[in-house]
Amino acid sequence: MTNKKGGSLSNTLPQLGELELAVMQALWARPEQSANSLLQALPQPRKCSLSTVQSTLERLHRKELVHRTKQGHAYVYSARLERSQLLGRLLGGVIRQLHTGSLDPILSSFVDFADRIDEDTLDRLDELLQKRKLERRVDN
Amino acid sequence: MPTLLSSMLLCTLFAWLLFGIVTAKSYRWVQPTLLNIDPDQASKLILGWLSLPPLGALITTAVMYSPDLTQWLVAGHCHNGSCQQHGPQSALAIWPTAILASWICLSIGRCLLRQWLSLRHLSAELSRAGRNAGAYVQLDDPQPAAFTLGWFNPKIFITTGMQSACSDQDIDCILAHERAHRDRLDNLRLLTAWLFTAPLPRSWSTAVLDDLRLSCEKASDLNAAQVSSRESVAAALIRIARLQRPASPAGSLAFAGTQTERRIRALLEEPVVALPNEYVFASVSTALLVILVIINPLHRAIEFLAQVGVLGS
Repeated sequence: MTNKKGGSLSNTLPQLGELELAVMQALWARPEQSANSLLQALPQPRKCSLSTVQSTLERLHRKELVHRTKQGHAYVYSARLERSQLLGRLLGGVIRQLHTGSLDPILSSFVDFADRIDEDTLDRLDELLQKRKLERRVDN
Repeated sequence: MPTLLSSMLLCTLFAWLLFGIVTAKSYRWVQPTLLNIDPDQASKLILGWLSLPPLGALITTAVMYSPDLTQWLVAGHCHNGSCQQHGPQSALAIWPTAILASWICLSIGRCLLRQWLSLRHLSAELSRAGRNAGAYVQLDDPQPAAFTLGWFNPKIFITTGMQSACSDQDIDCILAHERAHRDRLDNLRLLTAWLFTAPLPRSWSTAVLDDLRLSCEKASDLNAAQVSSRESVAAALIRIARLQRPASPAGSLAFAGTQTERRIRALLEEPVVALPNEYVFASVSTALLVILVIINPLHRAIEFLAQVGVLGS
């Protein structure tokens, strides 16, 4: 992914508000929409004025998350990031924060990302596991 | 009245600091026991241990400023010819105490707000970007990750990368483990522990908080083992640890004795032994007795510090 100047886009995801995410979702569902059609596409609880949608799109454009092209008097918008790319960046951010421990009181991961367990230790644990399985089979 | 309130607040802060030092220094004596008992019980006891400084400080203050109790606990003495029962008071401590208490409340509030905003933002973004699969939210991403996010109504997230890299049995173990975190409200437990220790230096509580997290993980592992078996959960842990190794940031060091290793060894080697209730009762009684015994020296110490000017009198 490159920006207008040809440089690569930052890997960090700017913070997105709930309306910004709802607009991105509408653009993933149907690319190339004007602000007006996006207003119609937003789910019922998200209904807001056209100017709110326009300023949300302006913010998304500044964050380089949407493309826009002028068609007649109106801009037509499309997402620059696929849903999976956005998720990748989101998760990348989560994993980075897990390494620093800043998410400790809000998130429990199955295996701690910050845990630096070496390959030899994993091999030894695997051997121990096989031994236990064998013992269990003999017991049964 | 302001003098009394500021003196009570100062006493609470002083006792919190004192109990914080005592619990930090004496943790190494109780740590081996806590790490070798039933992890569910251990997580409760560790949280209890971390609550000792703030709760102990509140109980101490309540007792120290209650005339009915101090007559039994504080040796009679007089100040400026008045020999009535009293709590230690320091007229000039109002401003330093108010500033210190405000600073502590503000720093805790700011950290809490930052965590809450971070949680709200992350939960909203991941929930919207993911797909609701009933018991969990599926994230369409190749990175292997599974986690529980939130305090009061935690949500489970699992990536398609994790699902495709693991067997059905592994996924069952992972989901059972994360469900246990959700049902036990482990994130809320960790937040509470973090709040109990917030006003004290972080280095005093690092080991205890690490052990609390380890106990929560071990308790969730055992819950998952009830769905399958201890060996299945250990196998899933080894597989995921191998998968997540490439996600380590460049320059990070790998070493043995990590929480993951201790969890796997606990599953494969340790029987679950619960500490008898008599021990728990005896520990709580001892803590209360200690509080009652130190009321007199603490009263005298605060009055001495106030007299020499350290506490502002």
